[in-house]
Amino acid sequence: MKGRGWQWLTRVVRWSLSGVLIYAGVSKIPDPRGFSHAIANYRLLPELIIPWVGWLLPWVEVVVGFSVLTRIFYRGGLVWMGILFTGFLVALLWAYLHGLDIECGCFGTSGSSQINLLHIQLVALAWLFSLGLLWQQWRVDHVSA
Amino acid sequence: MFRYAWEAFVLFLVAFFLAFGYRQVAHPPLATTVKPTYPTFSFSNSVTYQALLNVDLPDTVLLQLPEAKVIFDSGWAIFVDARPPEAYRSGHIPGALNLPYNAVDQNLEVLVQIPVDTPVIVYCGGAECEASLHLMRNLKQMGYRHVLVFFGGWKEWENAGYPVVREEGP
Repeated sequence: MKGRGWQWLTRVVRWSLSGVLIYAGVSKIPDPRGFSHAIANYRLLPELIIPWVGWLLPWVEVVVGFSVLTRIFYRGGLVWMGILFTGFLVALLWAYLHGLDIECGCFGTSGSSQINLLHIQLVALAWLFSLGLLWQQWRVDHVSA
Repeated sequence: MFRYAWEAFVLFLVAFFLAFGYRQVAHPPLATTVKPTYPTFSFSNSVTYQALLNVDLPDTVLLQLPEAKVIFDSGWAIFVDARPPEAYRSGHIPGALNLPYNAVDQNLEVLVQIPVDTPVIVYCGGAECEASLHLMRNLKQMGYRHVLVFFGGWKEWENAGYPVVREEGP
């Protein structure tokens, strides 16, 4: 279980998730206004804080992505990654279950596609992997402590 | 546990200062007031009467042509034409009532034909007119809860070759 295969699997998952976060963040940074409108359409957050979220969230994604990729402040990065994917999953499920036919806004607003079941499945998978990485690091710390 | 929280806090600070610095340098246009834009409503290919009754969103719900046709065929909702009487007489969806958005008060005899708890589909000339949106807001203020807008309106319906009624004459 802890052989080279497992290590490589963990590494690939870590690279993939951090790559997704960095790409998602970078694609949203130039257009905070458009991203704010994408957030507003979910009808989940109060209008007052939406501009702040639209401005800050892409940068959090980028920083967290680099943290997990480079293992600098790795534990904090894993915590944030779990929070982010949990939030994304809740938002997508909320929109899907309420029949909101809105753009995902996952990777910026230009060419963004409508929310569908595939989005939810992919984010659910990423959410599981992110929790898996967090759990793995927690166990490493716990055993070595 | 403390280390996890501390590192997460540091990362947040880094993100905040990067965002702040970028804002100072690039001046990206930030939203001040953010309202939801009009979402379209998806029935996931299964329009049901119950789904119509579940429509109770605080803002506009837009219907697509196929959904409007399914609802029309099923008779689950009352169609309301928000255009002026002349436009209505020249052609409208069969069974639709005429309730011009700017003359609701003068058409109470039409209004009483629409039960408050019935799904209502409003439409106007097409995607370029906003009479249906205005009428939708008026109806919602009056207590109608299940109001949907068929945004493609008369133009899309007529172009699709669906049934129409024309009231010729003076």
